[in-house]
Amino acid sequence: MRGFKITSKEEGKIKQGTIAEYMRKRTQLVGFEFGYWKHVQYCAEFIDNALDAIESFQWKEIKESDSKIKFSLDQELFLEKFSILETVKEEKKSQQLDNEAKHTLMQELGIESVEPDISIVQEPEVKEEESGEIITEEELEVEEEVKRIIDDMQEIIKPVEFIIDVEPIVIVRIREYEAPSFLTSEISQKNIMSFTFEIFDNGTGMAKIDLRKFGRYLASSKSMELKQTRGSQGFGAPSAFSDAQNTTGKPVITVSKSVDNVYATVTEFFTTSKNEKKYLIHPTDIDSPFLHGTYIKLSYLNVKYVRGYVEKYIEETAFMNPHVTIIYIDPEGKEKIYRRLATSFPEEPKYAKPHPSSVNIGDLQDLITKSEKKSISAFLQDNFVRMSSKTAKEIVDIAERDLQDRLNFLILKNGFVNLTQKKTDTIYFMRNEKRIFGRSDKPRDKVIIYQVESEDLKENYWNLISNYNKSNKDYEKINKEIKKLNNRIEKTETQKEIKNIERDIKKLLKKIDDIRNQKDKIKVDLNNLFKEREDGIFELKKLKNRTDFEDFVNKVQISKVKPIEITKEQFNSLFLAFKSIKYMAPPTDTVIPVGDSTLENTLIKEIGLRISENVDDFAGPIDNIYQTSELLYKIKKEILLKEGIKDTDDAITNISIDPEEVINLGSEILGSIDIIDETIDPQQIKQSIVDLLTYSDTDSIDTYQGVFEYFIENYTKDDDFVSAETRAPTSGKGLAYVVEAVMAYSRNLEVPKRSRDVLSRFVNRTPKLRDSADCAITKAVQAVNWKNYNLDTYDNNLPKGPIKLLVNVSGPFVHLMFKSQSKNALADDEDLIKEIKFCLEAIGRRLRIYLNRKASLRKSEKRASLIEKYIPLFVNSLYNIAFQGESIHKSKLDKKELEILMRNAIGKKPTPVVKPSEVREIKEDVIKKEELIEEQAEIQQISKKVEPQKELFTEKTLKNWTKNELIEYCKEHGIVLLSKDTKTVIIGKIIESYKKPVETKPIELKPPESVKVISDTTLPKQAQLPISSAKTPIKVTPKATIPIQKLAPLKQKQTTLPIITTEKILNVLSDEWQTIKHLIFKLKIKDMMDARYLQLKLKELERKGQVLVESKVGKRQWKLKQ
Amino acid sequence: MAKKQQHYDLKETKILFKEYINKGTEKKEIRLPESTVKIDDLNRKNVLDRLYKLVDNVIDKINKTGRPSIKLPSRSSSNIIWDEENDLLLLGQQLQEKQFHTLTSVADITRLMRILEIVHELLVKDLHATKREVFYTDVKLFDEQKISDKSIEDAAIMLYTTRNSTHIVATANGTCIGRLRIRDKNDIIDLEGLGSGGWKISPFLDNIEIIESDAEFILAIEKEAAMMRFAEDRFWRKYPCILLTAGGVGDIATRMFLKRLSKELNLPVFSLVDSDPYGHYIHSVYLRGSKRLSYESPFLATPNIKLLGVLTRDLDTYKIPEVARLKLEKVDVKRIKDLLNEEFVKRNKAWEEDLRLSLKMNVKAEIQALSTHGFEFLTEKYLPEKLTTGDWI
Amino acid sequence: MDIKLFYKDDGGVIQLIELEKIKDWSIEMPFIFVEYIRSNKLRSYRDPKVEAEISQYLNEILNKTAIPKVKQIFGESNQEEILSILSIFEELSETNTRAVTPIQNLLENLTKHTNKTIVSQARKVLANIKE
Repeated sequence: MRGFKITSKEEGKIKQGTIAEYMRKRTQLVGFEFGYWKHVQYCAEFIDNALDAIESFQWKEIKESDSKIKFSLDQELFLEKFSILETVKEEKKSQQLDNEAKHTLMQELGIESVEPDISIVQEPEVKEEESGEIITEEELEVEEEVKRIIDDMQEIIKPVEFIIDVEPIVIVRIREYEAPSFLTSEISQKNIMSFTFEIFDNGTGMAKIDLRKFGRYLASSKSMELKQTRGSQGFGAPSAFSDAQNTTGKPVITVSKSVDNVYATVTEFFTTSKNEKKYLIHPTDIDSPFLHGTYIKLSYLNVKYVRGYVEKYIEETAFMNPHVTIIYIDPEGKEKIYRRLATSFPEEPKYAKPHPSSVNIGDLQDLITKSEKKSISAFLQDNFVRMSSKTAKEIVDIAERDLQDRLNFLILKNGFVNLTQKKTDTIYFMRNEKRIFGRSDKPRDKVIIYQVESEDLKENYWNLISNYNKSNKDYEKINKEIKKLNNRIEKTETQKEIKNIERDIKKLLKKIDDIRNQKDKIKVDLNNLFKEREDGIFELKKLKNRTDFEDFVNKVQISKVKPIEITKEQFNSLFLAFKSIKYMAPPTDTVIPVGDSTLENTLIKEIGLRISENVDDFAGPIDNIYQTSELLYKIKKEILLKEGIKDTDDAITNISIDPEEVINLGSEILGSIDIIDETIDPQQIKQSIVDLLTYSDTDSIDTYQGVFEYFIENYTKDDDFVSAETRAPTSGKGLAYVVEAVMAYSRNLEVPKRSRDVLSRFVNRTPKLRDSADCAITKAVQAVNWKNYNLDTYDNNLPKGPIKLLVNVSGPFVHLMFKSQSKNALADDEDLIKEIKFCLEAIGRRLRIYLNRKASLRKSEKRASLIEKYIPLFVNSLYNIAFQGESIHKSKLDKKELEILMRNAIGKKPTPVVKPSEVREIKEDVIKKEELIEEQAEIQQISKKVEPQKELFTEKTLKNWTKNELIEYCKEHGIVLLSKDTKTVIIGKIIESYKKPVETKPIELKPPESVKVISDTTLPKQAQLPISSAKTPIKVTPKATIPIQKLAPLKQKQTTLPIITTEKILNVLSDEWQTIKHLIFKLKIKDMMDARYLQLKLKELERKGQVLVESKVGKRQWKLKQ
Repeated sequence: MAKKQQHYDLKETKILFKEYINKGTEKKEIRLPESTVKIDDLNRKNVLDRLYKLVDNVIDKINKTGRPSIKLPSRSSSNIIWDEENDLLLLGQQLQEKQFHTLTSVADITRLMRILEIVHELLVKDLHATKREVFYTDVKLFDEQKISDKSIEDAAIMLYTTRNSTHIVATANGTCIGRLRIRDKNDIIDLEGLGSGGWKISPFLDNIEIIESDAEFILAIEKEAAMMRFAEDRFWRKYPCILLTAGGVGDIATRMFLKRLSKELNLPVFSLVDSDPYGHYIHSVYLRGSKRLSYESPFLATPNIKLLGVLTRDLDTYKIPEVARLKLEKVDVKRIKDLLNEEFVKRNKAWEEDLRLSLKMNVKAEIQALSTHGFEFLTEKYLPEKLTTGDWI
Repeated sequence: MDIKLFYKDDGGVIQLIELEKIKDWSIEMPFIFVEYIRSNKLRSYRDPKVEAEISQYLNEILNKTAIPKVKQIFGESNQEEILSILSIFEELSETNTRAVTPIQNLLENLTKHTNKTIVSQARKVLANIKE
C-alpha cells in the first residue's frame, strides 16, 4: 500500500555510550599533554569550580533574609603583612617535635612508618562505625592518612583561619618533587617532575552524597538549562582526575564541608575506567577548621615548573574576580596574594533556558528523549526560552501540517482521511466512535475505519484532494524559490539589492500563507463531506493491518504524542517546524557583567594607578554652577511672587541678574569644594579660585568653565587613564551574552614587547591565555582603528602603548561560542566582533580626549618651563635699573617676589581680548593716550584724529606680514580664523572685516533662555570630564549619594547572648568521651552558628585545660578533666 | 701745455648757499605730520628719567597681573610713513606690544630689558659702548650680534630717542677734512690742521659741537680713493668747503655728522659718487636714510643733498672715452629699475632722466674714469665748473 | 639759531657758535675758544671788517659769560670750589697763558682772600700770566 511508511520504535533512541571510556582514551584531547600549559589547565579547571562554589554559596545565603554567615564585603581587606609561608615555617618548627612522638608510638605498636604515596593500599573493608576502639591495622593507617591529609590542609588553611569564614578565599598550592623513576621510565620526554596540586575554597562545599558523585563523569545535567557559570567551559574535574591518576597513580584527596553539617568529610579515592570510584578512605567525618568549603589535593606529572604561565593565569583571574581573595603558592615557594578589592558581590545570574535558534538537532534529540512532559508543547515551553504557549502551539501545528503531507494522511475536525495521488486509489476515512471493545465493557473511543465506495462521494473527495495536491506542489515550488533568493542574499553586497530580494521573499511568504489557508479550507470541505456521513462508506471490520491505521492516526497527531515516544519522522517534522519560527531575542537577565566601575577600581588598585579622587568633587559643583543664573532667577522670582506686588508678571519678565551676583554665588559654591587630596592645600585652592575670578575681568559666565578647566588640568594632570565600558547585554544566534572591556593607560606600565601581552581575554571571567591569534576577541581588537585614538599599533594592528586591555565576554551559553574543544578561542561571530569593536571604540574615544589633554598639558608645561627660564634674567635687569634709579617702587622692591608673581602668571589664560566694539573704541583710545603720556614723559603731544575704524592696511602691506603677525592681528581685532586658513585666506578675512562694521558682544546677562544657550555650549555635563567616569569610587563616599547600607561585619560572636555558656558545657560533659554530636544533642543546639560557637568554646576550655580532648578517626571527643 | 690754473667762482653754489642761509634763519622746526612719532636727541638725564618711568610701568604690570609687557612703535612696514613735505621716512603711531608670557617674545623682551640695563649703566657712568661690546656683555642671552643689534634699536625706539642718546654707538668709519673747527669735550679741533688724513669722525657725536667754519659747501664723496685726490690737492684751500666720506654707504655717525653740518651751518651739500646704481643708492641713503633705520631718519637724512656727479650726461659733456665706460650688468639694470620705482626718484625728474639715460646708453662709470683727462681734471676742472654752473640734480 | 654769521666783502661767510650755547660749556672752555679764534683765525679771514666784528663778538663772549661766571664763583662759593677752579686755570695758564689773561684782575682780588691757599694758588696763576 503506497503512501504508508511503517517505522520501528527502537530506531528513535541514540545509543548511550559511557563517557568515561571515551574520556580515558582521549585525555590529550582534553589538553592535559605535558608542557607549560598543563599546570594552567589544572588551575583553570579547579579555580573555575572554586569560584563558582563561592559564588553559589553567597547567592544561596543572600537569598535567606537573616543569614549571618554570608560574606560581607564592605570592609576594605588589608593583607599587607599576611603570609601563609611565614606561618607555615613557624608551624614546621613546632611540628618537628610531635612527629618524633608519633614515630615512637608507631614503633611500639609494631607498625613501621608507611609512606602513603608509594604503595597502593588494598581496599580495607572499613564499615561505617560510629565510634569505638581502633582495632585493625588498616584503621590505624586510615587514621594516619587522615591525620596527614589534615596536616597538609592545615598548612594552607590555618594561616587564613582569621578570615576563613568571613572572606571569600581561594588558595592554590603547587609543589614540585622528583618523580620516582618507575613512573617516568616509559615517558619519552625528559625532566619530568611530580607535582602535587592543592586547592581550597570556602564555597558551598559538598555534602556526603555529592562527594559520592564527585569525580565521576556525569551525563550532561538534567536539562540544557544553564547558568552563567565558569565551570561549564572545561571538561571539569573528572578529566583532571583521570589525568592525575594516569600519570602518578596517586589517589585524589578531598575534604569538604557544606554549611548544613557539623563535620567535614574527607575522602581519598581513585576513579575507575567504569566511571566508578574506589575509596582508599571512605567519606569520613572530621573536625572542620572552616564552616563551609572544599579542599582538593591530587598529584600529576609534568615538565619542570616554569614561572610565568600559572602566575599570569592567577593574576588575570584576580583582575576579573576582585570579589574574592586569591592566594597562590608556587613550587619555588613564592607567594602571591591578590586581596579582595571589590566591595560588592556580583549578582546571581538567572538560569537560562536555551533559545530555540541556538539549539541544534542533536541537542533537541537529547532533550526530548529525557523529557517527562506529557505533551510536545509542554516540553517545548519547559525547555526553551521565548517559547510562549502560542508559539509552541504554532510549532506543533506546523509540524502536524508537514506530517500530514509527508504521511499523506489528513487530520480533519471529526476524523481522518488518507490523501491519494491517483483517482483510482482507495479512500479510507477514520473516525473515533464510542464502541465497546477489548476487556472493558464500557464504551470507549475506538478508531473506526471506513472505505469510501459511493461514486459521487469519491468524485467530491477527488475534486477537493486534487486541489489539495496542486496547492502542495505550488507550496514546494515557492519554497524552492525562497531558498534560491536566500542564497542570492548571501552573495550580494549592496544594501539596495538585498532590500529588493527581501521584498520578493516577503511576497512569496504571503503566497505560502494563502496556500495554507486554501489547504485548511479544503480540509474543512472534506470534513463537511464526511461529517456524520453514514451512507456511501462501509466499515472495514476484521482488518489485518488495523494497527497500521491506528499507527497513522497516532503518528500524524504530534500534538497528542508524549515527547519520550516521539518517532523519528515526527521528530524531523517537529525540528523543521521548530527552526522555521522567528523567535524573539533571548532575555538578557541571564547575563551578568562584572560592571565598569568594578573593573576600573580593580585595575586602579591592582596596577596602582594614580586617579585623583576629587574628580567627582568637581562634577557636583559644575552642575549647580550652570544653574547659578537660573538659581538666582528662581530665587528672585520666588521673592517677587511671595511679595505678591500687583504687576508681578512683568516684574518677573524684567528680572535682571547682575553679573556680580553670579560671581558671588559661584564663588560660594566653588569655595564649598572640600578637597580630599592631601597633596593640595585647601588655602591655595581657595586663593587660586579668587585669583581666577577677580583676575579675569570679563564677567561672562564662561569664566567658570575656565575655572574648572584650570582645576581639572592642575589637579588631575598627572593622573593615569582607566576606563571601562560595559555594553548592554545582547544576543546573537539565540545566545545571550554581554561584552565589556577595561583599558588602563599609565606611564608606569611598560610597553609590552610582544603584541599578545597587551590584550587579556576572558570568557565568563575566566582568563583565556592560549590560541589568542584566532580568537574573535583578538580579531575585534584588531578591527579597531587605534590610530585615530592616538594609539600606535603593532604590525598585527593590536594597540601598542603603556596599556593594559582586558576584554570579558560572559553569558550562560559561552561554551557554545568557542571555536574548538580546547575552549580557548571564541568563534568568529560577526555580531560578537562588532559588539566588542563598539565597546572598545567607546573607550578609545575617552582615551583620545585624555591623551589630547595630556599632550596639550605637556605642551603648555614645556612652554611654561621655557618661559620660566627667562624670568630671573628679566627680573634681574629690571631690578638693577629700578633699584639704582628713583623708581617709585624703589623702597619695597623685592626680586624674589616679582619672580613669584610672574611664575604664578604662567599658564593662566590671559584675559580674553574683548572685541573692540564702538563704545570700547573711544574708551580704549583714552586709555591708549594715558599710557602714551605716561610712557613718553616729555613727548610733544600730537593729537590723533579720532576715526571710528582701525588703521586700514593695504593688502600689499599685509602681504609682507608674517603669518603669525596676521594671526596676532586677527586675534586683537576679533577676526575669527580657522586653523587651516592659509595666509591669503587670512588676509582676505582682514580686508573683509574692514568692510562690515564690527558687531559687539552683549555684555549684560539676559534671563535664563540665554543662560540655557550658554550652559549648552559651555562644559557639557559628564561627557567632557575625560578621566575615568568612575561613578562610585570605592573609598570616597560623595556627600550626596545614598549611604551604602552598612552591613555589620560578621564577627564570630552572635549578637544575641549565646545559650551556650561555659557552665552549661561543663554540666553536659562527663568523664566519658563524647563527640560534638552528643554535646549538640544535649545542649539542644538547633542553629548551626551555635554549634560553631560551641566548638570554639570547647577549644577555649581545652586551652584553659578545663577539658580533655582526644581525636578518634579524625573526630575529636571531649571529657571532663578529673 | 701747462693747464692754466683757472679759478672758478662757484657762482651757483654761492647763490644756493645764500638761499639756504635766508631759508635757514626763518626755517622753523620741521613740522612732522601729526601721526608720526618725533624722536629726540636727548641728554643723559632725560633718557634716564624716561628709562625709570618705563621700568616703573613694567613693575606695576607685574604687581597687578604678573604679566609684564612693553609697548614700542612697531617697525613693521605698515608703520612707516613717507613724509612728503620733508622728504623723510618716519615712524607711524602703531604700537607693538611684546608680552613676556608668550613663547614668541619672551626672549625678545628679556634681551630688551638686558639692553636697557646696559644703557642705564652707560648713562650713569657716562660711558659709550659699541654694539659689538654690548653683544659680548651677554653672549649667552643674545646668541648673535644680529639679535643684540635689533634689541639695541628696539631699546632706542622704546625710549623714543636716538640710538646715540643711549650711548650705544656705531663704529664710525667716516673721515672729514676742510674749513671747520669743532669742540670735542674740552679740546678744539681744526679740521684743516690734521694733515691729509683729516679728522676721523667720532662715534661720540654727543660730545661734538661745531664752533667755527668759513666753508660755503660740503662735498660727500663715495670712495676713499677720490677723497685722497682732494686731500693731496688741498682742494678746500682753493674753494671754501668741507669734504667728507664714509668709504661707501654712509654709516650712522657719518650721516649724523653730515646732517648736523648742513643743518647748523646751512651749507649746501653735494654728493660725488660713481655713475652706477650703487652710487645713486649711496646718494639716496644720505638723502633720506635707509628703510631699516627709519626711526632715526630726521637725524640722519640730509634732504637737500644734491647729486653733483658723476652724472651719465657728464660722460658725453666731458668726453669720457668709451674704453673708460663700463657696460651695465643684468643686476645693475634691475637695481636701476628699482630706483626708478622709488617715490623720491619719481619726484625728481632730472634724476629720473639720468637713470633712464644710463639705461638707454647701457653705460656706467666710476669717478676715477675722469682721470683719463689727467689727475687734476677732477679737482681743477670738472668739479669747480659744475659747482659754478650749478650742473647738479 | 645756534650759529652767528659774519659776511665777508668777497661774499664769503664766517660762522661762529652762538653765545647761548657757550653758556653750557665748562668754565675754562670759553677762554680757550676766544684765545684760539683770536690768535689763529682772525687774520686768516683777510677781511678787516669781519675781523673787527668777530673780535668784538669774542669780547662779548668774555664779558657776557666767561668772566662773570668765574667772578661769581670767586665771590660766593666755598673754598674747595674756588680752589678747584683755580687749579684748572693754573693748568691752563701753563699751556695757554694768553687764554687766562682776561681774568687777571679777578685773580688779583683773590690775592686778598682770607684763605691762604687760595691766595697762594691765585698768585701762582698770576705769575704764569705775567711771564
